[in-house]
Formats: sequence, structure tokens, C-alpha cells
Amino acid sequence: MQNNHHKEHLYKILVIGDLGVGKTSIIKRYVHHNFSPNYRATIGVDFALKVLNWDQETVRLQLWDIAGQERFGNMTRVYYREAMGAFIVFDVTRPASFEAVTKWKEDLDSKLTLANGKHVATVLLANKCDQGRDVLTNNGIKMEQFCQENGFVGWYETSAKENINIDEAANCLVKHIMASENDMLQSEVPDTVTPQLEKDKGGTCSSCFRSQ
Amino acid sequence: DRLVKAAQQTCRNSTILVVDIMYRKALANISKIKVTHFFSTFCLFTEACQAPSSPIVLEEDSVQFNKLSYLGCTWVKAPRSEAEAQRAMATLRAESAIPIPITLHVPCGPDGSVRIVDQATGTEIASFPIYKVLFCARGREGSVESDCFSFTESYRSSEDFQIHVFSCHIKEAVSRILYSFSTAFRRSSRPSDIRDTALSSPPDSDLYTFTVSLEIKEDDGKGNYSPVPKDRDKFYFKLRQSVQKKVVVSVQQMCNKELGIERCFGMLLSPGQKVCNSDMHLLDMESMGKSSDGKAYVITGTWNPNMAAFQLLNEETPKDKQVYMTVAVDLVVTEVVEPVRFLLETLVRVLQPLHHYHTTYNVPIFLCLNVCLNHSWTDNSDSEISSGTGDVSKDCPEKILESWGGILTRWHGNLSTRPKGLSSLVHSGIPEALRAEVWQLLAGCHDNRDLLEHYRILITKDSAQESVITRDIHRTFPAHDYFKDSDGDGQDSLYKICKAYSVYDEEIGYCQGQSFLAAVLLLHMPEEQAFCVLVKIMYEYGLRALYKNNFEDLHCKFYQLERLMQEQLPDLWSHFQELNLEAHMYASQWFLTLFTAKFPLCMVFHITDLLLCEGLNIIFNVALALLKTSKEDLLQADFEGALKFFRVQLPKRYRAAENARRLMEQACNIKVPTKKLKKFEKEYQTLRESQLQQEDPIDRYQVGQPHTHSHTHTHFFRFYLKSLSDSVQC
Repeated sequence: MQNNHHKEHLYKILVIGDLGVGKTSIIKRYVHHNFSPNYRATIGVDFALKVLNWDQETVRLQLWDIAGQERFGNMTRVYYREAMGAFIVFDVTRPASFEAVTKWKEDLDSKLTLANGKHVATVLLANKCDQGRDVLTNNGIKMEQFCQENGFVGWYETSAKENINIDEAANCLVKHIMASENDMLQSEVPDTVTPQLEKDKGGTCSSCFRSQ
Repeated sequence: DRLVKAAQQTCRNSTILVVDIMYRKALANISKIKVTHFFSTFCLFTEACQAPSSPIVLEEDSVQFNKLSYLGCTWVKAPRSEAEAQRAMATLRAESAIPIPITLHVPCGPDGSVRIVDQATGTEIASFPIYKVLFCARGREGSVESDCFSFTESYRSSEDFQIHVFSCHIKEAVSRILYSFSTAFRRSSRPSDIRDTALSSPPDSDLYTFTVSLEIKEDDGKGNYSPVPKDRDKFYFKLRQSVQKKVVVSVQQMCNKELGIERCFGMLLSPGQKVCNSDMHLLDMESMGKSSDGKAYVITGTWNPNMAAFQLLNEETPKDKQVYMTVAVDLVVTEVVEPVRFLLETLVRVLQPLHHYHTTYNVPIFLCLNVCLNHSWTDNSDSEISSGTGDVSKDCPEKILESWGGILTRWHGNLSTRPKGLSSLVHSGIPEALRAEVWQLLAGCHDNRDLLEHYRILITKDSAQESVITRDIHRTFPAHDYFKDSDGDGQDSLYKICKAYSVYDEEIGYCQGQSFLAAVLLLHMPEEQAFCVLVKIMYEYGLRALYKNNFEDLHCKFYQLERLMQEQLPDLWSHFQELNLEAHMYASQWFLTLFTAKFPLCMVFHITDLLLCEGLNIIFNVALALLKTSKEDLLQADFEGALKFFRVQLPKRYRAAENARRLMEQACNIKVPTKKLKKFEKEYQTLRESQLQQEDPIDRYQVGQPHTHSHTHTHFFRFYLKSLSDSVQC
């Protein structure tokens, strides 16, 4: 009856990080509200959709759960495109998975930039925090500083098992995506092209057509 | 369960034996497994009896019983054991020093709780939600405990079972109380004939009521079968010796969301009551399907009374006596993960063959059963099925086994060529019991002594990928018994085989996805042999190539698949184009694991049959068959919907073995000409080359022009498809 100005946002979000850090578990917890210690290893890529109500607007998060084995890094290029945000996950009980964080961030930034040339909003997740926080405390890592230096918009200690901080982390990411979206809309000059925000136009990137 | 494990063990340990020994062994396995293979039975011991008259005090939502004493409670190990319940009642009846006078409230519906209230003070002593109540029993007629009844509950956890025992001052109340319990278990108000109902694994969930009727028909000597009469008072069937019979079971759901009965895969019969699985004998199925009005599902089986197993039901029953018999039907219900068994116990009297029935009381006996479905059994439409699920029937018609026997004899006579007629047999699926042998023969592993020896050395070597492998082992087929324990044999073998491969193949090493294929092989044969077959699949069948050079070949396969789709499923292809849904999004897992990671095992094994027989190109047949059969669903779906469909609904569909079988049939019928594949491969290479030539300038462009999307050159998939398609503007 009433003219529906209800706005809908569709954001593609990547969930990346070393294998076994709990990417799938985090998504399951966030989307399906459950946890099982027995997930299958992700091969290639998996998907999940989370719908949020955000200030009377609808936000649809398309979560791309990407296989963690280094070898699949070669395929990430296909997965990354048109993403608007990312979670990089590490396992607080495994220092090596934290060391890989910078590698994942570099990979992401080298393969993906927004229309305004900026990197996509990325939140760092220190997962499995129910199992101790050795990595965080022992090495004297200043997480705030680490995030600043490496261009993360925030970080959270999470536990998919105990459902700690996952909603918070997602909200933080959405907030930043929306901010950068507004930023791009405002700074738009006629000749540049904004990434697709409306769903009905599909995900094709219009700049690709222009460049031909 | 132990038998199944033992059988699996024999299956896995079987090497290539002389054909006819293997063949007999297969048969032996089958007869053993046929009856031990079964799942969680819905124990629904029922019996026709008169419904008691109305209870004492009817409250709004519960029935209240007075003049009862609470004799106390004790632990039981088997919550549904009648014998244990009887023992507990006898003990507590004899030992209870201070029986507490109580009032018992039994709720009217499955949502309420059973409450025990102290009669003197009116305070509640205890209360148990009805779904936690597992079993009710009454004291044996004629014993001291005949005024007792008991119920077993799992209040605190699913492993602790407590039995609560009561005695009734008015003995007649016992049957009324039990009746109230039985009505509490069901939602419909329809009166029924349950004496005691045992619910297996009661969850916080829905109750489904079924009416099951049993009919026995006998040959009238002219080939016409008519129902046998029943005793008017005691509801027993009257049967004649040595007369050919048919058993007709019809199942009708009475309440709740309708569950779809897909098929019956076995009707079983045995003399006696409370018979164990191994004593039940399979009847030949004559027909199954919906009744003409579509309301009930009717299964008819033929019963040859002269078979030794049914001897007890073919001997004349002494006057005024009856004997028990048990009939079971195993049904595949769409919404229920495990097959559901309906077990019916009834009384019969066997008369002389020439006996003339005097009475013609022919109303079928109805039993009303309540099935409480656990959430994990019912289909929660959002959850994926676990990896490595599904029973694989080891049952196989004798005729097929005979053909296999013949083929194998010829094959062993000349191992260098595959016998004629082999591939058509493989297409309909290799009998589970023969898979170990046939897979090895197909893969050409019959003279691989060197590799077997090599394996023993390989497992002693360190691998750089140990930690990666370790992380994946417990994530491979977590739903399968053999792989679910972290220190079990399954995980141990899986680890060793993956590690050995990573050492053996330095270039590829371990790649996520391999563990699923290795697990499939390990379910059929010992480690070393599984390793040999794995090596063959990787090297000779060419799976290895998919992992090489940044998955270059894999991308070529995706391209080929999309081109095949474009030709064979043009509408779906354009739909996917519109959605920007690309093959790599759903087919990476299919191809890299050869469909082993997500689908139910019966299908996974069948695909492996085809792969080993026909080669790697079979992945296109399977992929196209999957897309074809899901076309209607996929055409309706948006991007997320389609991907969810691939993840959730699609694998679920094939839990029913029949669906998997049909899919495989379709896959075999799809034409994937090698010529076409070659042509598409060339196209891809051409595109790829022009792509690579452009890559450098683009990269340079990118550095200088931050406004350009960095993904431009990764768009080549879309480009190549667009450039090839006239219908899409570019």
C-alpha cells in the first residue's frame, strides 16, 4: 500500500584465514546459531546468507567461507572479487595461524580494492578464545597497534563454541562497510563507477564493460 | 552393531580372492548384514486390546489419580526393558518401607508433565515432562506386583534412566493409568488400542500418529487371496497350515505435518514376540505404494509358510492357545534421516490345512502408533547433512550377484582385458560386498606388489604437511562410525594414507579434498590397497592434474562444464549467467573430491564405481545429471538460493538410495562426447592465452590507476563465456 522506500543492502563478505581456525564454525554460529566440533573441511568455497535489520533497512550478508589451505590461495582471486568486507580469522592457540594473518591481509589487499581505491573493511577475529589466549598475551603483541599497522578496522576475541563476540564483530564490520559505502557515494565523480549495491542489477561490475 | 562392524572389517580386509570364494563370502556377508544393518528402530510394541473406560478425575489438562503409593525409584540400565521394569517393581514392592500416599497427574497431551504430588501436604514431589518418559510397564498379572506400575524416564541426561514405581490401592486403576500415559503420548483424540507405548529417544519435538493395519490373506486354492478371519474377542488371526499367504500392512498418518513415505525396503516376519533383528526374515515384496484413495501406504509381501524360518507358524496350535508373530516394515520417510521400522506383534492360531473357517470376522486389526520424531531425524531444512552419512545396503539380488560371479571368473582368467558386459553391470552399481575387489581390478591394482612395499616405507617418512593433514582428518566423514573417533583405527589409517601420499607425490603433496577420497577407499579395503587405488586415481585417471598449476586444469573443467550446460541445459545456463553464478562456486568441491565430500555414501560409492570404470570424464555426466534433475528448483532460485540449494537440499535428496540410483542411471545416459570436450578445451586454451597476453598490461594499468577494479583480469571467466555467446551482449 505504502510506497516502499525500504532499502536493501547486499554485501559480499569473505571469511578467510588458515585452515582449521574455525571459519566454518564462526559462520555456522552466526547464521544457524549452532556449533558442532565436527565440521567437514571446506573444499573450494561455501556460502551462507545472513539477513540483518539495520536501522529499518535490510542488510543481506553473503558470507563466503573460503578453504584455508595455502594451495587454494591461487583460487582466492576468483572468490575475492566484488567483496565489500572481510573477516580474517586466526586461532589463538596456534601462533602460526596468527603469523599467517598478515599474509592473508596482503593477499586480500593485493587482489581487491574498492572503487575509491581503498581496501575493503577487514575485521580480525582471534577465534577459540574459550581455549586460552596464549598467542595474545605471551608475545606481547599489542593488538590495537597491530590492527592499525595492518589496516584492520577492528579486532575481536571470539569463540564460535561459546558464542562470544561474533555478533559484535559482524556489526562492527557492517558499520564500516556502510561507512565506506557512503564515502564512495559522496566522493563519486561522474566518470567513476560505484560497485553494485542494488541486487536486481546483479553482481556484474560495470567498469568492466566500460573498459572495453 | 558389533556384527556390522565385524562385517565391515571382513569387507575391508578382503583381498583379491579366488572368485567363487569371494562370491560366497559376499553372500554370507549379505545374509548376515541384511538383518543386522538396521538403524534406530522405533520400538513400538503394540497389541490390540480393549480401551479402558473413562479415568477417575479429569482435570482441564491432566488426569488425576488418587489412592496411589509411591514406592520409590531406582536406576535401570536398559530403559525399555520389560524384564528390568518387572525386577524393579518386584524389588521396590518388597522393600519399600514407607510407601508415600500420592496423587498422580498424567497430562492429556505430549506437552505436559507427569506430576507426583504428596497427598498429605499437596506439595509436588517430582515432575517429568512427558517426552522424558520412555517406558511404562505394569506388574505381571497374577504376581504380587500386579497392583504396581512403573515408568522410566531420562530426566537428568540421556544416559541416566530412573524407574519410578507405584502401587495402586484399587488394582483396576493400573490399566487406566497406563491408558492415560498412552493418550498423553499422542495428540489426536482418536481412541486407540495401545497397551504400552515405548518411545525411543524422546525429544522436545513433534509427535506423529500412524494407524497401521495388518491383514493376512490366504490362497483359496485357485490363486485368489482372501483375508483370513480373526477371532472376535481375542483379535487373533486364524491361519491354515501350508497355505500360501500374503501379508498386507497399510500405514496411514493420522496427525501432524504430512510425512512422505517414499518406499518400503523390507517386510520382515518372525514367529514369536520381542524377537531380535537377526531372527526376522525378509519376505518377498509383492507391491508397495499408495492406496487407491491416496491416504495410506500399502505394502504387500508374500509368505511361504513352508520355509524353515516360519516353521513355528506352520504347526497346528493346540486348542485354546495362540502363538505370537511379529511383522515389521522398514520405511524410507522423506523427512526422516534414518529408515523407520514399524514393528507389529500379533497373536495367531494355526489350524489344519483343510480347516473350514466358520466365522467370517474380517475387520482388519488396527494399531495406532505414535512416533516421536527427534529433531535430528527430521529434516531441518536449513541444516546440511553431515559428511559421510548414510547406510549403504549390502543387500543385493542373487541374480545380480550371479552375473558378477560370472564376470569375475572371466576377468581373473585374463586380467589384462576387462570382460564383456562389465560396464553395464558397473553402471547399475557394484554390489557393496564386491566393491573392494572390483575397484582394485578396475584401477589395475592387481599386480602392484612394488607400490604396496613402497607404502610401508612411505609411512615411516616425515611429511612437511603433517599438521595440515592432522587438521583435516577429524573433519573427514565425521558422521561415519569408522572415522568419528579421534584415536580410532579409521582416523589413524586415514592419516597414514594421506601422509604417505604427500611424501609419494612431492609436487602435489596433500591437498584438501584428498582425504575424502581416501576415506571412501578405506571403507572398503586395507590401507595399502586403498593407497594403491588412490595413486591410480591421481596419476592414471588424471585427478592429479586438477591440482596442478594453480588449478589450471580444474578451471578448464569448469569451462567445459559451462559449455556443456550451454548446449544441454540452455535455460539453466542463461539463468546462471544472469545470476553471475559460475561453475567454480558449486563445482570446485564436486570435482576436487570427486563428489565424495557432501553426498550420502550410497551415492558416493556409486560415483566411484563409475569413475573407476569410465574415467575422469564421468564427472561431467554426474554434474550434468545433478543440474538436470535440479533444474526446476534452480530456475526458481536467486544467487543465494541456488548456492544454498547446492549445499543443503541437493545432497539431502540423495539420502534415499532410490533417488541416488536414478541419478546414476541418468548420469550414464547423458552424452558427453570426447570430441566436444576436446573442442572446449581448445577454446579454453585460446582464451586463456589471450588472457595471459593481456595480463601484464592490465597489471601495469592497475598499479597506475587505482580506480580500476583489481578484479578486472580475473573476470576472464565471464569474458570468455560472453565472447562465445551471441546471446549475451558484451
